[in-house]
Amino acid sequence: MRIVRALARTVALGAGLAAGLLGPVATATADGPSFAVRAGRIMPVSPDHPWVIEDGLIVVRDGRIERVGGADMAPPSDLPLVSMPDATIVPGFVAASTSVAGQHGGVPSMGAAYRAADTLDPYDDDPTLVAAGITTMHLNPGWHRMVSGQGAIARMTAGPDGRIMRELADLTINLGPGAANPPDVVEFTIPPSPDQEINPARPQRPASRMTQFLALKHAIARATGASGEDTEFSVHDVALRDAWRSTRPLRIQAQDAVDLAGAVSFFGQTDRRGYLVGGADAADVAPLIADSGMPLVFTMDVALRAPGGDVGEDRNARGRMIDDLAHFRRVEHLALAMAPGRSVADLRLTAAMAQRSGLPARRVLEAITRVPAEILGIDDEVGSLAPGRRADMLVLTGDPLATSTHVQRVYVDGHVVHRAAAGGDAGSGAMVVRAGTVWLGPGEWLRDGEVLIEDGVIVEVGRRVGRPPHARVVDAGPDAFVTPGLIDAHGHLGLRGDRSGVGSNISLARLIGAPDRPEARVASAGVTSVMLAPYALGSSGTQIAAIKTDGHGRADRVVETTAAIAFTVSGAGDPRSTPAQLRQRLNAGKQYVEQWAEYEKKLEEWKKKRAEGKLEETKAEVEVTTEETAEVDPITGTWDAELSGGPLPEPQRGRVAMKLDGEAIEARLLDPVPPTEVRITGTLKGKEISGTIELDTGGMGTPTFQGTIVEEDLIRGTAGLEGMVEVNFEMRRTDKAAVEFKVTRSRRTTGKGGRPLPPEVNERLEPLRALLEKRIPALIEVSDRRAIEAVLDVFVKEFELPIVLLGGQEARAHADRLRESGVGVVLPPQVLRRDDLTWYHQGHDLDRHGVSIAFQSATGDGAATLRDVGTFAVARGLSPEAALAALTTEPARMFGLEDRIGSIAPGCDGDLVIFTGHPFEAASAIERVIINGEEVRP
Amino acid sequence: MTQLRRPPIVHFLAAACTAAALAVTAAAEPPAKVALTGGRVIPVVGEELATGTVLIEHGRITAIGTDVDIPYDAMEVDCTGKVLFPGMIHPHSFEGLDVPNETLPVAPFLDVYDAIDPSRSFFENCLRDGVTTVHVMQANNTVIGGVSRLVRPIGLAVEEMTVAGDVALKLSTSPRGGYDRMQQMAELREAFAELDDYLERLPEQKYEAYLAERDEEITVGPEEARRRGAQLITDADYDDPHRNLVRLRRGDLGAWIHAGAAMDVGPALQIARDQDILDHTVFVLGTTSFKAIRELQGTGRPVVLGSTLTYRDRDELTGEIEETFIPLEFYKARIPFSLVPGGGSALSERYLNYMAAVCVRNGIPRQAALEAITINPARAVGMGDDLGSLEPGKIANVVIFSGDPLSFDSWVEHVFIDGIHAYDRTKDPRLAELMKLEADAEADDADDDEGDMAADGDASEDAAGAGDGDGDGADRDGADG
Repeated sequence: MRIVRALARTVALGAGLAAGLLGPVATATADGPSFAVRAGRIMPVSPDHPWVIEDGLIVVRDGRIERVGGADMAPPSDLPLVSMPDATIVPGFVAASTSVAGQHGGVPSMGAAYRAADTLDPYDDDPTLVAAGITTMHLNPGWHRMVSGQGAIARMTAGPDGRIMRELADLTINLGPGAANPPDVVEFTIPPSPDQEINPARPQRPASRMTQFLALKHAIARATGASGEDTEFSVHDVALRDAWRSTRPLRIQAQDAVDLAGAVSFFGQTDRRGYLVGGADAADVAPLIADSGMPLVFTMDVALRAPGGDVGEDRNARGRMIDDLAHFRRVEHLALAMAPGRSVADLRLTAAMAQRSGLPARRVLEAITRVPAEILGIDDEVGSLAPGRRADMLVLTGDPLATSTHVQRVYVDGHVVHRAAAGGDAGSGAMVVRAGTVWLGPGEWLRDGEVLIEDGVIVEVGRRVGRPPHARVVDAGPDAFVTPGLIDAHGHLGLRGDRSGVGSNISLARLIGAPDRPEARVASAGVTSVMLAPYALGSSGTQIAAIKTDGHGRADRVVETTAAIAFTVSGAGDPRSTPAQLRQRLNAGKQYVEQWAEYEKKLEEWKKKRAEGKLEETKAEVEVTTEETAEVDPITGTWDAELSGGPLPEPQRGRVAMKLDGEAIEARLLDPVPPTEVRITGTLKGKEISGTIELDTGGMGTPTFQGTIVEEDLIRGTAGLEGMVEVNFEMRRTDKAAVEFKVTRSRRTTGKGGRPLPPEVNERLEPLRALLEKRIPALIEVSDRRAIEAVLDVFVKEFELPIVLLGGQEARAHADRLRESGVGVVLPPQVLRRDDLTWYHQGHDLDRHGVSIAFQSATGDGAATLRDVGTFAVARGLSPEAALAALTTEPARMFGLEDRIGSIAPGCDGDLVIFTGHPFEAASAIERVIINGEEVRP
Repeated sequence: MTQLRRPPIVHFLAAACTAAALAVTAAAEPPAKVALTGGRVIPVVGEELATGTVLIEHGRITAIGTDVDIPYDAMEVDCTGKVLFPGMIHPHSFEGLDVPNETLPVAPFLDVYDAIDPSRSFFENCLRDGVTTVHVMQANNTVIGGVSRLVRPIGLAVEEMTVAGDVALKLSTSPRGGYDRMQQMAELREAFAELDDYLERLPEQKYEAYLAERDEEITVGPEEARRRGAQLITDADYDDPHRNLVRLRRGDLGAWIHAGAAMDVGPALQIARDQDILDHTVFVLGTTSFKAIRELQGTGRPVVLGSTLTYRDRDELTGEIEETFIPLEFYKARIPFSLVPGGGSALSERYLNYMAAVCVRNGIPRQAALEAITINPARAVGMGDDLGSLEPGKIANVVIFSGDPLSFDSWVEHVFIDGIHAYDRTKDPRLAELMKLEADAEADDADDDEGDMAADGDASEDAAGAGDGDGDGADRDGADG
């Protein structure tokens, strides 16, 4: 009777519970996105596909993989295509053992009702684990009780939905000393009453290894009712029975060999499916496990983040030796996971180390993807890139088991759940460019070299460079030739043909914004920097800006607002007189600069004094100057006027201020003050004045006046409306000082505490200041040989300024002088010159004479052909090294920008051009252009 | 100034200066009829009146309007220049209890009735702050807590204070102190699984006991015995550990489930659905719980927010900080929410009307903010028809503010609870003492330094004298040692 009742009860309860338990599992996952990915290498880790698919394609539809194929497979026309030619794509890693759930604080030794799933926070996306490529992980309720509960499987989905893949994934059983001797159970009787006895603390089993299987079997028998006991209700018994009767696997965790051997024989005695979880200490029984065919999750106890402790006598210390894994090679279903206490984020690298034990790379990758999925019973969902599986994919920078490989992007259900910090194909992250040849500068080559660019700047150049975790790796191949970005030494990119002149106080850098099509065309032709000049250069100095051809905006694109000041000495006029004008201009600038230099000197002295505390208590000095804007003339001044006659019953008096400017008279009424401004204008012709009074007369016309300077300071005349009203006036000047126009300026000559005050800033001379202080060069457009000589005399000899010649068609004549003074020449677009009857290439010619040269486009988007200007020069005899230098290092040096552009060196901007071969080989194509560390999109 | 045209019924205020005095005021018989006239009326439910009358008869509001006939025998209170507002409701407080929690994790057989202490200064403060109803409930450090109670902050005994008993049980899916989530959830599930087991066995036991009473032998099978036993069961047959859980399932008790973090909301919903108690569940939320707002939205159930209204989230990888104003999220999701004042001394969390003002400042419409401190909590405790607004038929809990309730310089001047004139600021001895100090300090500022110090010394001595003399002495000893 009692048994029947108990049974009926348990069955009914079980059904109810099961319904309750299974409820939350059915969380619907939203449909994922659809797209196709073309990647350099795909490693599907699926028995149905090749191990590596070069130039592979993965089609993802609704978050699941539809197809995986090679280069011959065409992407579907209806889906967006993501191209990642540098990437290696592998399935998301499956961590078959983690301590993420922690261990529960419950006392029961057989606590089957504890669920690891309860610890999962679906709103915490665990970014460090995702960044390490873990897309699926097992949660384990603990290692501390014989039955520690029921494990769960979680996925790193894009949102809280679907985070728990299996709420009840297994029954977790722990063997060995860790689970032995659980604490006693103390139960309070609530509410206490005389009928209810107070229970003493109840010890639990197992107390030792000897009783562990006995305890386990007894607990199962009691829970399933097989023992025939009539027991108190226990939620753990219900859960244990439910788990035992389900098809969920048993997960037996043990660290010691003897316990794993015991587990193997335990499985032999039951028909339950399951798997073992153990570490290297189990090496002794590895053959036994291999023969049993039991799957094994090998927990790797490798200290990566800090060296492990002393080895000592402790037998368990052996666990740190991953090499013991060799013993487990024969285990058919071998998954690799991290031991408790080790960071799951190290799974990839630690697994890669397992190769040391002789485990083939292929098995290692399988052991963190497909095999753990199989063991956990989720291989139809995750663990490989095969049709029907969820699109959980990792985008890696290289071989999945190489040390310097990084996870660049993580897809879960086709959603991007992690992107390496601002890196990848968008944003200015880090990038490693690898190529057969890296051209660093004239005569400096790096064979099989690498360049690391971080945040748009080259940080490392060498045979092998560092690989930051978020770095994208571009392997251009052994034939590739990498040069610095090419420089157009004089161009008009972005002016869109606007030929208007520009004042010397304006920099064209102000025009620079986001790049447009012409810029894109030039950028993808390998020209990364342009010395931007207006079409017409003035003789008073025009600012030249150094700009990039690509970037997100002005801040990215402007290298230098004022990189040089350009003058022209060509064109009309006597070529010998222009230098004289230049000298005048330079002198004006020089004075200005000297003013500033003096100020700075004074300021230094003052600061020094202040630092020494020697400043005397002085008040700010104020200099008062009174300036009169006009000299004394017959008109300017204050006049007392008297009007009489006409309709006026009696004379009217007033006061007028008048000012003479040339012949023009301007006057205004001082007294009586008119209600609105009355504008009186007129002219002085000899002694006659005449003019108009702009006054609202209600449409009767504009009053006029005529008068004569009768004697000094006396004017007589008439005023009125033509033919209607007329009055006489007589004016006497009372003040010649022109009070209205006298200006009294007070200027402080020193600041507080005697601090010297800076001179006024002159926007027009300011650019010249940089030149005269030799911070930037002068770019002088000049062609005639005599003019070149004059320019050299004025600029180099007299003012000792850095200059660059623009054009310099007849520079040949002064080649030696140019070489000696280190003056470079920006070659004219038309490089072939004729001397007498022979044609020569000006660049080749100057180069032979040791003169530094640079190429220019002198156009807008025509700069796109600049590389071929170099190719042509090489064809005409210029050495390829010199031609390349004339497109990179030379112009950078001429304009003093060598620390930013023109070479591949740490600290320089990350501007690179990747050619398929030598840049001046006709067959070489431009493969990629990188500006500020970002690839230019053609 | 508010003028009471008839002499107020209560004369005791000036005599004593403790909470007891305030409580005594409440014990007096309410006047049969009170008319609050001339004030601006913010009824929360219904149109606001620039000038209106609230008529109270026998503890209930009987009329509100601009043109209300005032019975000849009504005590008329001139509220010109004042603002009439519904008594505010504290939706979730353990402060009426001696300790917030019981150490037993599963204790549905307990009732806060046994622990409410009417003399706690908390109730006095409630009155002073315009809170006329308090839902006293065990705090969140539990698995299943005891039965809660709705009280008014006046009265000398719990019976006198009680507005409604047996309001709700507290459950928590967030781990209590010392627990982890696996333990918390295992115990929560166990409580209900064990209840099922108990209910499964009970009919048979009942039938066996029934037969035993009659000295009869059992002649039927277990199934029939259960069927017969089930018909015999009355409420008295449920034992203490199970009775309230049965009532919870039946809906006699509300379920207030604490989900202190976003991840605890899912399990809370699961429990509510599994036990079929969702239609009388209120979710008591913590700071981060708003992240699960989508799940909560689907239920249509009200929520009670934590006293921290702003959440700052820092991105682990980028370090960027994102700020969320929590009530705004609930407003946008159209989930009725109630605000809970914080226990601390932070001004922003201490006063319900201040918290509502903060809500308005952060973009919530005024009406929604006002509802969050009045009608929403009234509905959450199941008293939406009796409390939470100024409407005819409702219990006459009225707060008379000196200005707009959301204005920082408005005072609570008078409080009527059940029509009883329960609080008068001019006769609040503690406040008077406090204001006196303030006034003294102001006056002293004008005086010279010497006088200032002397006054300060006097004041602090007075304050010490008002406190517990022994405790004070002990403190001093401790400091000396």
